[in-house]
Amino acid sequence: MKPSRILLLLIPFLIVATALSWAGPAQQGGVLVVGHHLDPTTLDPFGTTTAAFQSVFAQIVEQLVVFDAERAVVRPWLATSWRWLDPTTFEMQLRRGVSFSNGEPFDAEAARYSLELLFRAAPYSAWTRDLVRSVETAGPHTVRIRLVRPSAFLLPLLARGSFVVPPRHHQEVGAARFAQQPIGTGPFVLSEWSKGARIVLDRNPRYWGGQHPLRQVIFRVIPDDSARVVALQAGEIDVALNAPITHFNRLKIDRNLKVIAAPGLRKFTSFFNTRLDTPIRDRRVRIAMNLAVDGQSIVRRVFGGQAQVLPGHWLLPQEFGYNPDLKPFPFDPARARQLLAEAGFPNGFETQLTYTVGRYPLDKELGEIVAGYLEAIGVRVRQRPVEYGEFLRLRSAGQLGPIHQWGLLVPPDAHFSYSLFTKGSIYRFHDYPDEWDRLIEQAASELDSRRREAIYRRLAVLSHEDPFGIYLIAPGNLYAMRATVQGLTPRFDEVLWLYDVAK
Amino acid sequence: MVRLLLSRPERRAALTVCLLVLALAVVWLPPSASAIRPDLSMRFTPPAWVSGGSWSTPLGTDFLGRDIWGRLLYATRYTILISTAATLLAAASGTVAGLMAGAQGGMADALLMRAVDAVLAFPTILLVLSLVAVLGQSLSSLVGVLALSGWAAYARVVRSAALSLRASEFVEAARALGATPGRIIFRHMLPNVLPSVTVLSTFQVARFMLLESSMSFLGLGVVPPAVTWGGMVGEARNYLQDAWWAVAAPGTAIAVTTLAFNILGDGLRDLLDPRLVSLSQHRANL
Repeated sequence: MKPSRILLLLIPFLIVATALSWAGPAQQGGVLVVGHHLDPTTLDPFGTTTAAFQSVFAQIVEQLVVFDAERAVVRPWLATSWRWLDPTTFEMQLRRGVSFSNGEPFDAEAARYSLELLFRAAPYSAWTRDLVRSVETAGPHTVRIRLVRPSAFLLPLLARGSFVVPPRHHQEVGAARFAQQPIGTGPFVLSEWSKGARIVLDRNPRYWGGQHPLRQVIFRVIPDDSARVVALQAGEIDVALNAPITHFNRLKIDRNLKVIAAPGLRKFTSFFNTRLDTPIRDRRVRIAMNLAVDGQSIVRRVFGGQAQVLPGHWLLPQEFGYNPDLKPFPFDPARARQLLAEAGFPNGFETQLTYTVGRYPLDKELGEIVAGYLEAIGVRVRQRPVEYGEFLRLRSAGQLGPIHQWGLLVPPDAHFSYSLFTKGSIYRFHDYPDEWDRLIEQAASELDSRRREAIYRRLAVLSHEDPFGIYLIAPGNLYAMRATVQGLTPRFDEVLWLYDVAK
Repeated sequence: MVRLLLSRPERRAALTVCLLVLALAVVWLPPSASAIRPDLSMRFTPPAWVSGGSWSTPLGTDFLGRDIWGRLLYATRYTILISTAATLLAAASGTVAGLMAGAQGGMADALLMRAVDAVLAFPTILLVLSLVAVLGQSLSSLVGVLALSGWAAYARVVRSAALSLRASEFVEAARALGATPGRIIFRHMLPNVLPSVTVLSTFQVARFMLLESSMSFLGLGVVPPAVTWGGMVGEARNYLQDAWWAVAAPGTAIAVTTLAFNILGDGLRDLLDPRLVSLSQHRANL
């Protein structure tokens, strides 16, 4: 067949295709391509707490309540209001007229079913253990949670993980299939997922909040930081998640791009293991190490100002339980040397620093920097940079050594931070006097937020005077995007929120 | 012989570079503090000849404010030690294996050569990466893994040489006089395969240097504060657009040194190849 014949044959198809593209409202709106740094291993809302994975399914599956974009304040979403009936009974009123994208109605039964999944979910088990007695429906749009004991952190927990799934469908396909093909009430539905390459979300035409201005969202997996930025500059993607902070200044001057920085809550810390018989057991040595590291300088020079120094304890100003009376440890190497001498180590000592490589932006650099600062006060540091899998293996084998350094991201309520360091937790490497555990327990069942905050401030003072780590920094989150992308606001919990985005 | 090697200017230059680099590796100069210890206030100081640079850091500083010139010298030691140690190890084991296979023949030959096939059939970088991932990151495992990826080439070359040597008259004579197989292999065959092994080694040093560079670049090299040229390139590449000098300096070092070793290898081959030698002698006689 001649080429011209083929072209002639193609013409009717082209006409039909053009006609179709104008046919319905389903075809209007832009396509947003998001460059993602990680390929999700699962899209099961109850199978992961990784913010990077939630960033994908949060557009498909919605929550009962959500965090505000900027701080740890809980806002209504599929639940419109809530109240405590008594110290152990929590009641939520649900939004009416909402249905899942597969047609199932969203009602009290769907909320109850989903909440039970949440309270049984393994990733949340550290926070839900011995917490919930039962979940019940109390009317078609009312759901009640009965607790074992009063709990102040139920609401933040819900804001973190109260995803709602269609009960009938979920039961039919099972959790494993659902993790591949999640269905929710959100503005988008999953239409294609090629592992390691891309995830395509189509607009949900029946979304209760009205049709989304975007027709389609495509997540492209580009793990390499530089490659992701180059793809953005070349116009292949519209948004680059986790843009490397090292590129901040360069991206800022590109007129076709917009760079938004938001404070992040991943807290980089060099955790001390005081159970090992090393000089680190001495409180003065641990304070000296905090004085030896110049956090301000790291923030200013390495992170281009896009990070915050941990304020001398483990809670950031965006979190509930932050103690504004405490300040970051000053950079004072002379005082640090003096403290080392007082502790009996005028010539320093040798120790080991284990840190992750390639897991978080600049984690290797941070390891080398901290080692350098410690060397400067006379502590000889054997560096052990390890890949994340090896890091986890060392942790479960109890071989992280005297100091290990990485970044932890927990829900922004002091309870979630401090409960990492309670007795029996795998994150605890430094033992405090009994007061510590007692205060954490007391705060957990304190419903008056003023009094609860006072307890957390006391815990902050304890962890300042007797540091469990070198409190380093919390890097900001960078979102780099084409200048045409509108309405994308970075969230402090690092979850991508495309609900208000247009292009 | 040496005069022949030095007959061309590029070979003289190559020999100078190789000797210089080897000397730097062997002479144990302690690294300067500014080469190892981060100093964030000095971050990204450009080289001295660029505006903003200073002669206290002639090649500029890297992303942690460390002196690149000092680091380059410090890295020479690790880069060269790793590649030469790996080459020696690979040469020794590969030569022994090749002699065994070539001199004995039969079952030993078949087994060894299938092992060689297996190693050669495997993509080198993949083999090396997976071995390091399993064995863990350390200087000795790095050397061992590189050697493991390089012995097969020696075994092949030496075996073919040994096969032809086995049929040669002086080996037959030795055998007739009742020499043991061990004596024949090490006393009579080994000296005759050494020239090829030497030539191959100069190429292997360069190859290992590049391989080590790629591994360091991927973050599987030596552990800080130790550093190699490849590691320097790897850690600086994220800042390429801000600080080209942090990549350029170690990159140039890698390029120049591997080139020098390759030129040297070429020269040695010309020198030790009997046919070429006789040709040049013939020319000299004219």
